[in-house]
Amino acid sequence: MAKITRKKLARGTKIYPEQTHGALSTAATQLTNATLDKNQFEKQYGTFRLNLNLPYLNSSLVAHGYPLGDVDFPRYFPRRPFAIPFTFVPFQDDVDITVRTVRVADGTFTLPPAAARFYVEEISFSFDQRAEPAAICDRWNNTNEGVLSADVGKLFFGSQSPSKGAYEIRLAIAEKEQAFFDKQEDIPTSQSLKTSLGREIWSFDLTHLYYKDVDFRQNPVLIQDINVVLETYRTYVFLIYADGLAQDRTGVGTNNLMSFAMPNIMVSMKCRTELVPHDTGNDIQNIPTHDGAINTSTVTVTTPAVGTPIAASGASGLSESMGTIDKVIRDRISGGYTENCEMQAIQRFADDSCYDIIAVPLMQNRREMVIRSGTSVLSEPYIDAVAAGGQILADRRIIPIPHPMTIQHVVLGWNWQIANQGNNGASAAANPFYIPTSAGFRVDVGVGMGTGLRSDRFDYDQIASLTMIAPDYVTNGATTTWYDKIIDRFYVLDKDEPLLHPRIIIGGQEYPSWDLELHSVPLVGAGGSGYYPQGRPIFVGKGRDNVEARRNIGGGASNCAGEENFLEVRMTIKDTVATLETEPVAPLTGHFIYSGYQGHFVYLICKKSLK
Amino acid sequence: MPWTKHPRHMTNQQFSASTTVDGSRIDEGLDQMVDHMNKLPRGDIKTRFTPATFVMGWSPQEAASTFTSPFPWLVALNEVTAVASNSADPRQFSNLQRLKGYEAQGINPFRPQIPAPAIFQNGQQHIWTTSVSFKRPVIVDSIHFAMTIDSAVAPRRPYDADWLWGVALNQQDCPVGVNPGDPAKDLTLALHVDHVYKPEDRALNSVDVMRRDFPVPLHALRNYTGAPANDMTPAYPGGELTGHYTPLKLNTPIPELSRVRFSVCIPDFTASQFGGAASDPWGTYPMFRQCFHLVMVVLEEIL
Repeated sequence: MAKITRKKLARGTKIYPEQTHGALSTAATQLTNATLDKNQFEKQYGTFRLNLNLPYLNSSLVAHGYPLGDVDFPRYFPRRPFAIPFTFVPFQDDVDITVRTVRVADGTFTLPPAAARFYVEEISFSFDQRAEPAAICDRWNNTNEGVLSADVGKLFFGSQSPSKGAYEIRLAIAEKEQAFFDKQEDIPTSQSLKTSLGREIWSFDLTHLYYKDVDFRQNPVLIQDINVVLETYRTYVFLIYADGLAQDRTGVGTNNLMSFAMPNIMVSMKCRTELVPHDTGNDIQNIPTHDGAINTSTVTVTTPAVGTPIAASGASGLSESMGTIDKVIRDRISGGYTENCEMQAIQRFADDSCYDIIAVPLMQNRREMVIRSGTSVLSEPYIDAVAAGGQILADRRIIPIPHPMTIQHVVLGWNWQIANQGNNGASAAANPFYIPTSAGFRVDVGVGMGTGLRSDRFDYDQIASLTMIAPDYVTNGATTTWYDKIIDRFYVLDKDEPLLHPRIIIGGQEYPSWDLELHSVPLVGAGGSGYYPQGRPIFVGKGRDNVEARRNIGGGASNCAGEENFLEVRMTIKDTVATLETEPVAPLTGHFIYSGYQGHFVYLICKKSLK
Repeated sequence: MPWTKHPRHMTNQQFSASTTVDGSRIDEGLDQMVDHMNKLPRGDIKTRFTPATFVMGWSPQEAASTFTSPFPWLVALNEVTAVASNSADPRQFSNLQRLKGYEAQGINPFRPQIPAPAIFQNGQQHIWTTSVSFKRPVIVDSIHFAMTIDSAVAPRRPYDADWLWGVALNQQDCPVGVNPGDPAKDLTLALHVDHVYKPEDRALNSVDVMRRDFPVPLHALRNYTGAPANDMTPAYPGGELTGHYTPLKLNTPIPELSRVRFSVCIPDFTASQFGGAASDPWGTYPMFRQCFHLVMVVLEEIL
């Protein structure tokens, strides 16, 4: 609906009803039909936050055993960040993708004019310093190789040597094109060459001065007015550089080491995006049977009849009509869903929702920082030394549903990033990492909604699921399903790390060794849009008995029956062919990596309602 | 005089019977109304907030495995034993304590953990703090904290916390006011905001929300026991959802440019005169006995 216009009153002419009541009638119609447009709002943008939490980053991210001043350090170990990939996928109704034709034409996409766009407003970055102007020691501080330090979690005061503080941090956002659209991407027969990190679109330096003052430290730090545009169908990577976490490594076997950590990192990236209408229609899975239909109420402005005076008061009076509109606005207008999945009692505007992305962490905070082959995997929860297929690594997150939303897409950000397992060069040289070569290496990711938190029964509905098998397409050829729903995959560094994460080429084929991947986790059902076929958007929200009746989900009636009050995201890792302790064989050495440093994120891309 | 309709919210022009009127006044009044309708201020919209969801949590290492790292849990007290072996002497600490109201029965919050002799053993507490800075005012809508353990029928139970003082304990193994078999009441949850002028002095923090001194195992994740009627995939080896759940419905306003912290504090009766050999009620390495799930929902105005 367009903005309201009116005809001005000209001097010396008669006043006609349409000049006095025309605009008022238009306003009344907009309020009655709930067609007020976001362009009629002073503030037109909704906001959402991409919140990324890490239990910690420590010296193992950057320490490779070579002293900072060693001649080999810069060559073998380029400055290495911790990277978190994410992407913004348009709402399903805005998805318009032409899939690539392998080795013939790149894939393309079209965005409708009304599609949501995203602008980074501010970023909050924080970690725990125990409320002191000090660094927090990690498990390798002041201890010999292979010996865990008693200083873990303790405070380190004073200046750090040799040339920088413990917390010399650089934050950045990189942007890259996605392999999904590259005509060369056809694993296992051909691979996209768009596997480097891409260009930086934003960065910010946080020197140790932010963290060492007694009276004022910027922790959390708020970086404002960023105004960087993030686009759909691009891969973005949030980068955390923290070189100072590993210091003063004067040689193998010495105990004169300073090693630090950043416990409990929280990155909160606030973005603004256009307000949009909420999802309606009986094809929205699990939507209450009101199908998102709004409740309206008539606002009446009576135009004076032909030949009658234009009065101030009375049924068609000017003051009366202006007062009618004024009262509706003064009572404040509403739109969207209530907390209980009902529509607002009276809705006055159309654009009552906006984009949302919920980042769900999985497989974080593991005992050995990564999960890898060898005997250490037997220390993981639920793992015993049993036959192949009988071992399972698992994690889950419970997310109570505080407000209704429709889940549009689910994206898995899979992480192969490594961490040094020791605290000096001896362990670094002996323990490179490889992506598993087993044909049975399998990852299952599932998103479900459940009813059961403090309730009378316990049930689940599946929302999305993905199974990925055999990431090593060189060894396993056509039997791999790992890349069936791939969106993107890439390296964090331009050059490999020859000691820790080498690139192996045998018989002209390069073993897969990238750091990060993005996969689509398809929604249940059919008829939806996305990178790959999936179901229509799924409504989730806890309701009262008047909104218990729901449309089907996944082709059948909902088990939760409108009583869902939490989401659950699960991940399991197993190998059905080899035991998880099985190490690589020649020409590979070192370990297989099963889950990267500080785990993975599952992104729930939703449409949420104004509250 | 009874209330009558008026247009005063949208315009300062009023027209009444038996008063003068001219075209310019009518024009101005209608222009003001149209301008207002075409640029509705934020305050005219009742539902003008969007929720933002923070999700945190992990499944920790097994307590039976060699201890590696307690992160993100950090010992509550900042005192001399909290300083690293190769650190400079701080001479004094900025904040001996960085959280208010977390005292637990049986642990002196002003003393460190002392391993021996037994009569002086104090135990300690661990705090997990998450902080965010907000440019604009926000409303903390709700916080949901859950600790999940493995089902009693799961074949492996690395997460086996029960948050109970053991029934077999002697009375002297329990703090004053606690009996064997009692539930733990020493979990603390707090939402606090740094002081605007002295943000590094935690004693001046404004505690907006505090939840403490409640029986942890009695605030169960589920009332209904047993497996779900229909499960989701993939199957989870720890069995069905079991554990503790604290929902906090807050609606707490936070001013602009605030540094907000949410802290969880758990006790550790390892090397304590209380709790017995099993270090009840949280067990040895209490940060490894259950999985953690934390969700915070914040409402922010449209921009």
